[in-house]
Amino acid sequence: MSTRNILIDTDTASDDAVALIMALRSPGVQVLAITVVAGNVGLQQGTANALYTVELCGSPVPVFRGAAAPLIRPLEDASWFHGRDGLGDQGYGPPTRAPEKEFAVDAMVRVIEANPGIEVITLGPLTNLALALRQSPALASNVSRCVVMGGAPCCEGNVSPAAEYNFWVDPEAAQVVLRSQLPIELVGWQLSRGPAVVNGREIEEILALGTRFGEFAVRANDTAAEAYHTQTGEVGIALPDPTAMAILLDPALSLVSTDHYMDVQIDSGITRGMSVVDKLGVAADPRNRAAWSEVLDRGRKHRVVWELDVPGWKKALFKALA
Amino acid sequence: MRRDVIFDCDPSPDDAVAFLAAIASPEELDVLAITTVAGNVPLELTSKNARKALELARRTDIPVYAGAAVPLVRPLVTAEHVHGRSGFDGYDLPEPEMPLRPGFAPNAIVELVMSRPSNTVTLCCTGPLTNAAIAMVREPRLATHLAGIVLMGGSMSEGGNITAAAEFNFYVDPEAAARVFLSGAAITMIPLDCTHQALTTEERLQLLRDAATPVGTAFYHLLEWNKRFDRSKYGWPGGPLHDPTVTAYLITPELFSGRKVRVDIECASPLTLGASVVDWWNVSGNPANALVLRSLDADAYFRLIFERLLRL
Repeated sequence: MSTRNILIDTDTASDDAVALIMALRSPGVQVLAITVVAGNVGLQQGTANALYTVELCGSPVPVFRGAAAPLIRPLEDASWFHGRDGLGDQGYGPPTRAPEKEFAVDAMVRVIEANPGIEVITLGPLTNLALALRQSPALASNVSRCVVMGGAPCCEGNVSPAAEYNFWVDPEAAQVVLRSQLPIELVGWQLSRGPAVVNGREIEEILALGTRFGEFAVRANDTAAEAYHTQTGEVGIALPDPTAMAILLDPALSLVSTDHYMDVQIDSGITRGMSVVDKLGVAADPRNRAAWSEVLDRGRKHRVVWELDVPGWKKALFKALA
Repeated sequence: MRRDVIFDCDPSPDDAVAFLAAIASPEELDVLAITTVAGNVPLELTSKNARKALELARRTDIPVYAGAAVPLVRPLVTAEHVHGRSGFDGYDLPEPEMPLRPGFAPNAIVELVMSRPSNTVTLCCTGPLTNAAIAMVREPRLATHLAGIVLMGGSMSEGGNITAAAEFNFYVDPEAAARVFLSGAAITMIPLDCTHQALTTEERLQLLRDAATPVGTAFYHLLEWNKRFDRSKYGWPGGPLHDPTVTAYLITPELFSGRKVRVDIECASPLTLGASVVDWWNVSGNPANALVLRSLDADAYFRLIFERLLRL
């Protein structure tokens, strides 16, 4: 089997960094480009974090800088969760490499068009991918899988009662992407909760691996673990982006998934950025059709992952950090 | 002083008059490029119409870049009911031979503006603001690097021309309009309140017909066809010549009067989607973000624009 080509779009903070390590250290895939978008942290910081992580892995993958703010709204970062530098404020030095000169959206279009069948994964706000779809309307036909870490399908959000951060911060971009023809697999934030959280014993085991990857993965998530405890009462490190990456790398880790029409609320009220999944298939009913017409007429169903193989996910994480 | 300008447009005839009049005014304006966007008709046709107009005027030296085929977030709404299927109904112009320049229009806008000193290039927008908004997301410094944006769009107390509340350009891409008005760029907005004072009456169009030049004849017929909609729907003696107000303002701002005010664009309510909310009395206390022009000297406007157009 030939090597799988991957493009990663990321707003690199603590959990993104772990996801990058998993991809860059995975033997079966070739990461062709890492495109950075403003989100968890500002664009400069996110780019520095991506480069730092790439250097930690000794990878030559090019890193591109993309949108510095959402499509329409001002950026509201998540440094309250990931630390001011997005990596738990551990004092990591600046990267030695510089990002590429090419704008991330141009790179995304170029790489996807040149590599039909490529797999795309997004770990941040969907600004870059939305811009790429506007720049190259036929883009979707070249993508064989598009794993999106984002949304809170049929559950509570993590930044508002209704919405997950990536969708909430740039809901317009999320809507553009979900209404596109991209073959999306949605990995909501809830999959990284509960048993999927890396608990205290597992953290000790990761540190005991004695690798720079394990040390970095744990320390960079220090503030995130604290913020997660405050937010949910759960103890340990929740890793939404790495669970999405694990599913990208090994589709068998998605135990239950079904295909549905879905859309994103772009109004600014209490449901801003909410991922609405037509779980019961009622969108086409006469009373709903008008509100769903754009999705029904021009969109497609996307796959929602409902259940993660938790032991399998932990195994994949440990393997990447060993 | 000569200014560099870029025309970002969705050519129906009035967009073409706007950029041709600018091209015919080399003492005041240097047209760096024409960038096209989907709006009055789909992108393929607006890109074609821009080149038809340039070939008619034998100015194929002006580069044309195609931009966004759909609005930032929403599906495209077009206006064939006003401009016909081609967007250029009423006079047959040959299929254009000049090619589009390679590259995506918002990227070309960023390159052209950022490669020049700040405060030198003015972006003239006569269609939906999709390209302008994408360019601003791509290059966060663009808005303040521009000398300004002069745009035809919105409505204050004239009501809407596509819904009861909204003017067409803002209605088609309200999110893009909102993005541009929040960008910090120096915006001059020419709403329907102003352009509805500028009607293509028989007497005014006579100027074009009497000139009997290829450009005059073509635009006489195109504008004559265009005004059928307004005549039959509103009983007006002509159609509003919206977009060349942008060019006229750049050449002779004294023809216009207005006020610096706060403008915000509605993006949520289905009833008022795309409405430009103009805070004429500054009741919000929010800082002004646009110079809104509410009236113009229509006779002087037509004399100026048609005189320039007929130079070609």
